[in-house]
Amino acid sequence: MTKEEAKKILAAYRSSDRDRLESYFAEALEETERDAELAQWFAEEREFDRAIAGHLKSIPVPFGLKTRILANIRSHTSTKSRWVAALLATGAAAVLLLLAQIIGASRASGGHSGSVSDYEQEMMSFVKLAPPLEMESLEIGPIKQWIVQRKAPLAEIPPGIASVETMGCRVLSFRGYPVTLICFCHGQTVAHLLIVDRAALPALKPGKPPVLASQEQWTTATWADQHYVCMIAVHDGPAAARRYLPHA
Amino acid sequence: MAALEFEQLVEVFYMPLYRFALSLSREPCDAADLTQQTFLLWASKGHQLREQSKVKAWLFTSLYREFLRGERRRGRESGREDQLPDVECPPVVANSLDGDAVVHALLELEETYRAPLSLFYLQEHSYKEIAEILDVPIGTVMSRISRGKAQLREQLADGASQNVTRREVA
Repeated sequence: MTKEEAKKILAAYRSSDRDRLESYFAEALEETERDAELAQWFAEEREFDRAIAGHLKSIPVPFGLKTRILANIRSHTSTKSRWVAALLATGAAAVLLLLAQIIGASRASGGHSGSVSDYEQEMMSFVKLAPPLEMESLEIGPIKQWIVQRKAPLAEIPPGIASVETMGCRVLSFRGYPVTLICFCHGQTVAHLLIVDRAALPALKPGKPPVLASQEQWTTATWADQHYVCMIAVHDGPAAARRYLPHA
Repeated sequence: MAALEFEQLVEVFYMPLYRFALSLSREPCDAADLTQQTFLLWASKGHQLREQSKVKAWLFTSLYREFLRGERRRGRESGREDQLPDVECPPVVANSLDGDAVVHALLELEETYRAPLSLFYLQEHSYKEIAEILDVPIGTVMSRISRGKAQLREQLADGASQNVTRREVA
């Protein structure tokens, strides 16, 4: 085997090989033990691989992509197929158990409850693009009923926004926690109220004044009570958001 | 419960799927669409998969086929296909300037090399799985990885020399 041939084979080498392709690489690997220059090239090649893999894995994924995937699937499953039942029936339990363990490990290491900033960004990326609603109604009563039936989170709605005409609602998801989204008419645009269990955002303490933040002509206001975290998002300035806050 | 299980599936796979999709389409928004489309396919056809241990390979294979279908459609039609509701797509930037150069060099590779090399570097799949996803023999995967890496090194070297030239001119 020439040095060039060995390099071509070793260029595809990966130590975490699960295919038992030792025989494919064996001869080329032996060459690295005989040829110091080849060994040096191989060490650099593996370092190069580690760097490229690291860079590829650091490519940012759009905020809100997961939320939108789940929202699309919910719409899809409610109208088209009952794949989950079929999936379970065909023995997916083992895979899902494995996934649950992966997620469990991630939760145990503290990686699953999100930061307030992540939550705001994910939810904002969803509501900025006219979110599809699962239930539409001009009255808050039927909306509340729909939410209760789905056992989705429902906090006390601040009077400032409760008196505004509603458009509808849907359930989203954040780090495994259901998030209730209720949309209200806000002039020509929409005011969004998002409610999630407080366990999803443990950093937010109840009883503190709402935290206002602005990004690209949008304002969010986030606060917590004993059970839930609420967030108002409006395509407007802070004064408009304040109108909808508790004790406004 | 079922919704939570599906969310776990999405949680585990949506990031590597997106990154693979990006390496194929080279456009963040197209990559996001491909990722969403893949999970929609899973929702409607996933139950047909008999070996549940192959969920990951199924998702990546479906995404790749969906990409190829889209490319063929684009070849036939002048306009763009209908898209799913979109997400805000970040620019393709890795975690550092060097990372930025690396990712762009990777995206500049010919598609023949880009797909196997991305799967190789994402480290989610064995060689055999990569071969199945791309529907090529395992020997072809090996040679494409090898040639793709050579091309990647050339791209990076070209980029570096251009930067040096720019600095010298400045």
